[in-house]
Amino acid sequence: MTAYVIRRFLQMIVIMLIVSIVAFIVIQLPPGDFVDAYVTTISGGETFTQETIDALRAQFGLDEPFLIQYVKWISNVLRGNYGVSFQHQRTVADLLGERLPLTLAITLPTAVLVYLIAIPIGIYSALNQYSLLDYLFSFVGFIGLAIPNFLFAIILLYIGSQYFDANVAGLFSPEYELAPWSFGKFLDLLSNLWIPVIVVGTAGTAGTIRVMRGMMLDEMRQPYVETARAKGLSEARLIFKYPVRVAISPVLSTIGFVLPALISGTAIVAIVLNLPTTGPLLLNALLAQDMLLAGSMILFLSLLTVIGTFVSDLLLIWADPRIQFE
Amino acid sequence: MSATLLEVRNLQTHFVSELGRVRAVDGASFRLESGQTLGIVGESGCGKSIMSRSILRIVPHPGEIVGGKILYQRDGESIDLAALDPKSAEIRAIRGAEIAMVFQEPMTSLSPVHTIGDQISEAIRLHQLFSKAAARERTIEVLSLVGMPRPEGIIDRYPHELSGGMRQRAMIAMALSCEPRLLIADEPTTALDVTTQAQILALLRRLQGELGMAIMFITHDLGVIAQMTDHVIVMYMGRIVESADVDSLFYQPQHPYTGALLHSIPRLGSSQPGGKLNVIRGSIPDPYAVPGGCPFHNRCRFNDGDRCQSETPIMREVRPGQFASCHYAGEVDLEGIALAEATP
Repeated sequence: MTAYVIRRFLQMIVIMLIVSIVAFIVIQLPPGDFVDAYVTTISGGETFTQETIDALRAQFGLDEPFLIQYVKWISNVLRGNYGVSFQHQRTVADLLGERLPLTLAITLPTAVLVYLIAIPIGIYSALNQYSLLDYLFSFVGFIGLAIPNFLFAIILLYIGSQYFDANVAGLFSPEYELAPWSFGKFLDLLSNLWIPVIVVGTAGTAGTIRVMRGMMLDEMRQPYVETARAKGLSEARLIFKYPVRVAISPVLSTIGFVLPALISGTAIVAIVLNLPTTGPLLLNALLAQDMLLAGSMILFLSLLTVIGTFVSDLLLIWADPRIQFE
Repeated sequence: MSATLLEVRNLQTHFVSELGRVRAVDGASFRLESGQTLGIVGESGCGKSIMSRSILRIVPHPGEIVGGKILYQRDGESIDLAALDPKSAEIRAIRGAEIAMVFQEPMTSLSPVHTIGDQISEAIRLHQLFSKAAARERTIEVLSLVGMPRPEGIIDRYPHELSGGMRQRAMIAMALSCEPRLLIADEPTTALDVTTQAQILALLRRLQGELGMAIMFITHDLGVIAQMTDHVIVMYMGRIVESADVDSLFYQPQHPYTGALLHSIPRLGSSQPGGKLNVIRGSIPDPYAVPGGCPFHNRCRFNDGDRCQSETPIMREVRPGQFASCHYAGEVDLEGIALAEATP
């Protein structure tokens, strides 16, 4: 076990190194660089002299060869210095520090709710297959899976503003938008949180219900369930001890993808709902070729993916003894 | 010795779906005495497994007992298991504790994600007041009872780490852990190779001698019946067609179906190389459209074309202690085989 964990750690370091190189290359792949993007977006008819452009390039270090840029960047990152965003002229750490808590405020409760709601419903649906509620959950589930998130967000925006007089865009009511943190602002956040949570969580909930239901239907037919019943166990006890334990494996294996999704999965919804989260930040950084910001974020997401996969693997090993350390 | 332990009267277990009604068990009656070994034999789909599950009230959905009684005798009183709610505490106190079951597939019948010890001690603690430590000791005890090598180590193993024979031993240990009065063994050796099969059969015989429980042995293998049982019930299409002690059944079968079954056992030297095996002609009728009259008439070589197709034969005593449900039982000339020929 310890040897396995150490081996996985070494693998993770190598993977992260490769990811950082690939990420750096991919961000630079589109023709031009940040200065070109900057010049075309800023210059409303105004022309930049070649000297200004060269000066800008030198200021951002973009005139140096690719390898030098990479080494400079990665050695800074390793020392905990993520650099300054070209676009925002603020440090990357500062930008993330501002948006990360709000992002997590939306995505963490969503992730928890997805599992809390979907797993019991999936189990119920399987145990009461073809019952009225099962059909209802299936119907709602398929709709939840089929509707694109942004469309769902727009529909909720419409319903919320039209019928409930809710403040639907953004995370805060206008009076708290720029106010410093207070208990009132916190309550305001909670009252505005439900739309993004529903939008972001629906597809995941629907998917998890289907997975859990299908797995449970398979497992309930297994002979070991009959053995447990013949032993004299009560239905409730045997269902939670045996088939649920086996059926939950595929759900555990997806926990690894939840971590990065917490940070980046909400980009489109966030744009539609005007949420100050990390999703739109990353999108804009990529569009503007804001190297240091985009690079840091991608590196961070990759790290979360790698850690998440590792956590998933550990959970699976715990849940299913047939899985070997290999 | 001859006290009745279980009496099944006109048991009917049916499966109803949109396709129709399948009479998986269609009026079966028999008695089982304590300490006796009763064999139940028949082709796949004859209702033998469903009958055993009816006794424990674990018939899978949508099967249901629609008629009959299952009288279980305990301390001078008689409990009708067929009348209990399958989820009631009453039947659950009997399952595993007084009537235990060993299943066919030792791989899939044990949970893959729990240790052998966990699954056995669970049964012990469910029915008896045992502390965790005491249950563990008892588990090791039953594991050594079934001849498991190094039970102290095996107890913490998972099923996939054991061989098929060892898994079936663990399954038997689980069934015996609460010292049941009746052990139902549903094809316990079918999934095992021949050597292991012989070991498991020998084990069951030894345990019965030591513990004195009754065994209901369900199988399609007449060789196993010949080796293991005192009394045999032959089932066809959910009905009992013949009931006799094992010697009478093999030497003097009274029902044409029993006769045909016996002669379908391939025997050494009985046919020329390249010759055909004896098979029962035809196949089991569609369970949704059972023909009238005797259920076996379409495959029977003694079919008279009249009474056999219109009138359902009733069970009658053809020889002392031997019952058959055939209009011509006792009249038709059926050849038996020697017991020794049936055993491989």
